[in-house]
Amino acid sequence: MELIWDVLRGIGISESVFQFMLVNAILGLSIYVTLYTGMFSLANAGFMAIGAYVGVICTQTLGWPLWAGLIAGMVAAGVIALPLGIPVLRLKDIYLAIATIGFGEIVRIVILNFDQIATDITGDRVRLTRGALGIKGIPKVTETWHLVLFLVLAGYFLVRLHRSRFGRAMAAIRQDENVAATMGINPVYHKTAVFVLSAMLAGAAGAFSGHLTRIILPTDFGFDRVVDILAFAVLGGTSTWVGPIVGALILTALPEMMRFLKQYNQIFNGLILLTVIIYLPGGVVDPAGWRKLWRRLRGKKPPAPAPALPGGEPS
Amino acid sequence: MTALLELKGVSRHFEGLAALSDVDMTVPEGKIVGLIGPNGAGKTTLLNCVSGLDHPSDGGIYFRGKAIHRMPPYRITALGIARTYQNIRLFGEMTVLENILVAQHLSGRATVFDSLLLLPRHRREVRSFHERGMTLLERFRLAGSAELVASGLPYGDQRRLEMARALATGPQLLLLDEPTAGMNPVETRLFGEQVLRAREDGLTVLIVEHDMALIGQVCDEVYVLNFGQVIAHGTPDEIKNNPDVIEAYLGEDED
Repeated sequence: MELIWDVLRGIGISESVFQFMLVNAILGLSIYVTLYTGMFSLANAGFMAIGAYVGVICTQTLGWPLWAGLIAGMVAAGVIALPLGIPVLRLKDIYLAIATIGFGEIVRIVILNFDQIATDITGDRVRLTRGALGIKGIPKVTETWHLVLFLVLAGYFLVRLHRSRFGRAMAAIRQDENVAATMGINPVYHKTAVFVLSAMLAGAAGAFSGHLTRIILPTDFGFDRVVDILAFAVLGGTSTWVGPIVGALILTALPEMMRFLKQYNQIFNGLILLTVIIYLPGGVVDPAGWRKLWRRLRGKKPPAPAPALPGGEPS
Repeated sequence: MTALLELKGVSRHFEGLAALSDVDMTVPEGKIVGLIGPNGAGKTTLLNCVSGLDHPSDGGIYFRGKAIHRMPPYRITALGIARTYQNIRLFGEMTVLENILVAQHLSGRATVFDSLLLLPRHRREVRSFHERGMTLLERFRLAGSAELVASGLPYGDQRRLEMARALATGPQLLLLDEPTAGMNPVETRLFGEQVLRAREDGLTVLIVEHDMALIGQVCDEVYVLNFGQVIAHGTPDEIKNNPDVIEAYLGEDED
């Protein structure tokens, strides 16, 4: 165990960096489940904010233990996702993306002004989210093993889910929603359930990270965060659930490992992302993509796609 | 003979264009009914309305006397109506067998939790889905391709897989939308035998088709649609000699 930490420290990854890698891996799973079901939802940062604030308020104001705050954060995110999902999931593609980014902004602004509004309504001075100043002095109680355990359980859940009737329905909806419906699958039910699942994963990531950073601010969960989470899925690919996890690990570790680049760090991150998009469009966890790239590097042309004209060849 | 499916005064307008106007139609139980007509006559719109992907602007559609014209597709499938698509719409990223497994969705009883904990109900369901899937694939001579990706199949195999997938939902009424388009005469004939076999198994079939040989081979009666209206109804032989039908197909230059 000590040896592993020594090696990680040697390449610039301290234990707290490693913890953020794991938190981001949970966020990668959160965006994965919606993308896998064909929903381009970018509400993850908003649900993360809900999970973080509810979780931290539960442990700090109410004095609950971390696990209770974690569950409260997940449940709060899921409960908000349900009524949001029913109208919003009627939208598709880029329209869904825009609506869910809007949701994230609403969450941020509500958190920013929550105390003021609550004070105005109730007449008593409310101090819960503490506006733009954020909640300070949160004890760092999230341990590495909490995160590892959560990821193992979530990974097992996803593997089993994929092999269940529900998981096949998710894939069918992604590939052709109308046809899935004529196979007896209720798309609204499945999409809403997945949206809630995604929200709960993001909520968990929020509750964990709230107890890592010692301070949470509304600006932690803005549009920048949305882009980061999407980048996990783009870099890792979404052909398996491992993809966004690997994407999150790489994109979180890279800036730490490349500290010597100083101000060029962000440029380097962008270059890596661009390279992957161009040469491995299916992400770094996509065996077919690597095979294609390998053939390309060796100067061979990919095999010509077989003509699929109707009535071409009798089978 | 009771009517399994009944359309009463069904119209479907798209911004003033009448894809279907005032269509009355009866599909008796246990029969194979053909639906023919020139391109753009409204045949696919009619199938879309019956399967719930589209809804009539006016009129009603009844399955065993129950109004279905406002139902979402998955509920119509649950009642026992399945369909295939003219422009093959398989789940291309899945294997052949997985396509059949998805279609058995409604007969599944195992919950997510059964699957999560690998409870006996999940295991039983996996086994029974698999067995039923392989039986269907064998019947359509696709068992050897069970593990291949569906989009990689030859064209004729994809057509047959579409029908196998529709049957996997356990329907009473099967809607086939130009199922033999692009097949050669031998394949078409073999496909016709599958349609006849479906009737022997107790299914009712509504088939949209251009191939008159197939219509003659399988259909008990035929409806002819032109510009969204029923212009003729009768046995295949009556239809072939009907002057209105001949005019609809040959009389005017449609293209």
